[in-house]
Amino acid sequence: MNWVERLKSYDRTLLEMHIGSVFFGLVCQIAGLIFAEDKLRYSCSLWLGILLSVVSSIHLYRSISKVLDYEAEAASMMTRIYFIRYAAVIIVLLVITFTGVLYPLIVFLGYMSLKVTALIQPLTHKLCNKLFRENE
Amino acid sequence: MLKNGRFYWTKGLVRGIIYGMLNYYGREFGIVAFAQVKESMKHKKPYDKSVYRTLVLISQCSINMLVPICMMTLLGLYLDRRLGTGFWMIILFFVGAVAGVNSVYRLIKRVLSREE
Repeated sequence: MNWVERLKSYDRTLLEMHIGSVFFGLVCQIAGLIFAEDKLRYSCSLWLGILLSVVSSIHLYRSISKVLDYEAEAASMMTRIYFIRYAAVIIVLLVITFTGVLYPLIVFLGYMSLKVTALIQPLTHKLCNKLFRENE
Repeated sequence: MLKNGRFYWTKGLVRGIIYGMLNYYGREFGIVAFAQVKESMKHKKPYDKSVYRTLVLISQCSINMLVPICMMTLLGLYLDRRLGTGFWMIILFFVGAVAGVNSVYRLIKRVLSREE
């Protein structure tokens, strides 16, 4: 199985979100290479944030597919999962803030890629369709 | 001395073989790559332009997100230094993030409505 087939077998929406995250990370990385004082610390912070957003999107995807089986309790389960995800992110941010190893705001910027990729998903969907030579 | 001489002789031979191979195969590779580029230019895919356009749009969205965050963070830094406080940067960073998301949302909405 070549890499295109492997990518096709991956869930398409998730793949598009990850492509968007990585693309956003690349743009932020270029901006950081120009403006950041401590480039290594900036890059580590940014890519940790991107990693957090990728893990969050996988968690969201898995939890949605799990919640679909529970019709009555779906809403409450989803709220609980949502709080668990945000609590995990807040814990990571607090650890980073108190240890001072990385920039917490840049980690949060990387995590914001989750929002950006959700918004630009129609564009990444189109891009993936063109790349995989699919009409729809 | 003799050992060193033999070593240099062997090293020279190996280097000569590698350079020769690189020169020969490198030239071959260059010719093949050039032919492939020429061929692809002939059969240029009609979607190429839209792929680039989409890539540019995605980068524009990322820049739209980044610019308000950077501007507001810089303003916060300036205010913190000027007023001797330590919270303006954090508050304005989040304001910038909200403004960035809003800007990306408006851009995507405009692009999608234009395409429809």
